[in-house]
Amino acid sequence: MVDSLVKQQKIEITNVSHSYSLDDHDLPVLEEIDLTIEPNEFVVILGPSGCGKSTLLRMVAGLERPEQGSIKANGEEIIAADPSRIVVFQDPTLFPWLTVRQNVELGFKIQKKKDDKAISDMLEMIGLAGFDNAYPSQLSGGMAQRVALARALVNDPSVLILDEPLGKLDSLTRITMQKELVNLWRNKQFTGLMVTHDIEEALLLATRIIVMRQRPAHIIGEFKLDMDYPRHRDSEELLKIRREIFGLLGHKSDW
Amino acid sequence: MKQIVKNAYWPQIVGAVAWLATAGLTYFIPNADDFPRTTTFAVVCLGIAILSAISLPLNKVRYYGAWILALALFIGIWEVVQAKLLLLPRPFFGAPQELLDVFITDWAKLLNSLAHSMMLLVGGYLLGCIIGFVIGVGMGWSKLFGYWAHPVLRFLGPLPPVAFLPLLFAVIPSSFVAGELLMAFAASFPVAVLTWSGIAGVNPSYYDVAKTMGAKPLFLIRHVAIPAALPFVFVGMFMALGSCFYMLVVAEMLGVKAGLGFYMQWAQGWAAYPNMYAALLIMAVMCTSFMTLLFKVRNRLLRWQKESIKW
Ligand SMILES: Nc1ncnc2c1ncn2[C@@H]1O[C@H](COP(=O)(O)OP(=O)(O)OP(=O)(O)O)[C@@H](O)[C@H]1O
Ligand SMILES: [Mg+2]
Repeated sequence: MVDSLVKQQKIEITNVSHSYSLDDHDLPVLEEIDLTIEPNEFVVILGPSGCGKSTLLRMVAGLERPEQGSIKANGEEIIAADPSRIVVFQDPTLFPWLTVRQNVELGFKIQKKKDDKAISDMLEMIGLAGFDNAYPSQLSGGMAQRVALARALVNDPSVLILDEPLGKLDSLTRITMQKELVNLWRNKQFTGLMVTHDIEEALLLATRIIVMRQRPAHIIGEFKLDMDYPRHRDSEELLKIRREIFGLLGHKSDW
Repeated sequence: MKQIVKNAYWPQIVGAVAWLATAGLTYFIPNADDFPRTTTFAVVCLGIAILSAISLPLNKVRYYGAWILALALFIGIWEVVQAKLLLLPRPFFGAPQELLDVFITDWAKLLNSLAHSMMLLVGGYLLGCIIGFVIGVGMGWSKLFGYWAHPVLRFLGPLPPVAFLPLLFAVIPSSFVAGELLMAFAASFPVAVLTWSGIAGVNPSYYDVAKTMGAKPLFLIRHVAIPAALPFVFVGMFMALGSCFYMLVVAEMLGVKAGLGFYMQWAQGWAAYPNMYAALLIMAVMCTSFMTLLFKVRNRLLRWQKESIKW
């Protein structure tokens, strides 16, 4: 078990393969994935829909174990979920029977902590102060997504696993949240592992972009981005990488 | 902002007049036979007429104006048909004043019967709900528990609880305890099945969310599985309440020597049909009150749900 107090985590994914059984036949989802994530990196994974990105994230989170290969945090095999690695899921999955505030407080409740100010600050940050007592059924899709993000962030994780966390936001809120994410990541020193469909988003946030091919997922491209933040989406360097990624994903002439 | 609908005045005005008319015809037209409490009944009608008149400014009461009128017509016609013209055969059909007479002369016994029925009902129902809930949670959560409980539930659950009645009353010396058990059995099956299906249907991502934050199984059961399954639990509890009402009457008519069902049985034996009507009325009020209470509890606990019906 990884100590949740250890702030820095190095994640090593070695030779991971996995398949699900679907209607009596095997469905290979991951094939020989090798990926090492250094502490404080922000790694973004791009790949076609249904290729196995969420599956890989679930494994890093410790919610599932790979059939083959190993996933280690600081040299120790990840065998179970741990509050040092928090996931923001593709769907907000807020608990409908809890208010916004109680949802954000969930991690504290589990760990028997109390910090009203941290919760209030977080609600403020995601622009939902005043919605403390609203129930998820009273929120818009984008608001719910932001609450889900807040629920993860208050726990101050050392690895933040993000599965298309901004997918449901409108383009303007999205830009704001991207900036917030970058700021948070730089201030709080967590390791980021994120999946997105949006190449632009990957280019703005990532220190490294991983491109996967269609199922079974396998890494087909890797890009290091060492430009400063905030980045400009029309900078020459980013456009060049963007073109290459489009090419890798089979849309050479579409960019 | 909530829109306030102003309710019309005229139904309640006509209603008050109709109650006054009912009071008048009760008092002034001679009875066709010997009926007790005719004057008292006229006074009661007069009282209702006055109450309707003075509550006229209340918007909430005015909403029921048409009901006040309809009830006045119903009671007035009943009074004329039975007390004044004697068109329906006695003793099966009583006059309104006879019903009033039962309440005045026999209230102590009726109240006592009500208390007994309520004790039997509440005790058996709550016990059954708790047992059903525990079984349901166990089956939804633990494979081992399900292995043993599932076949038993499938085998015994669909059996109508009434089928146990002769056996239980023979084996258990206290008919009250036997009645409680019967009621508990009737309540536990629907609660168990619905709790179970509620827990089995919980979105697995809810567990994942809690797990990544370090939740242990006890937390998952108490703070994820149970609240998520609660809407189903309440559906089970409504079904259970219905079948408990049913079992209550059967048990009191066939074995338990107290309660409203027993009172009705006794009234029938003496051909005291007005007493039966009185007991029926009280029973209806009791059942609807319990339903209302259950809905209140549900609406409080499930206030996070968007849609909820009004009882
Ligand atoms: N529990 C499961 N049982 C069977 N098959 C599964 C299961 N979970 C995922 N799969 C399959 O694995 C494949 C990869 O799923 P995954 O959710 O990882 O895709 P993804 O890359 O996240 O897709 P998207 O970008 O659309 O979210 C899919 O084809 C899916 O059908
Ligand atoms: Mg996914």
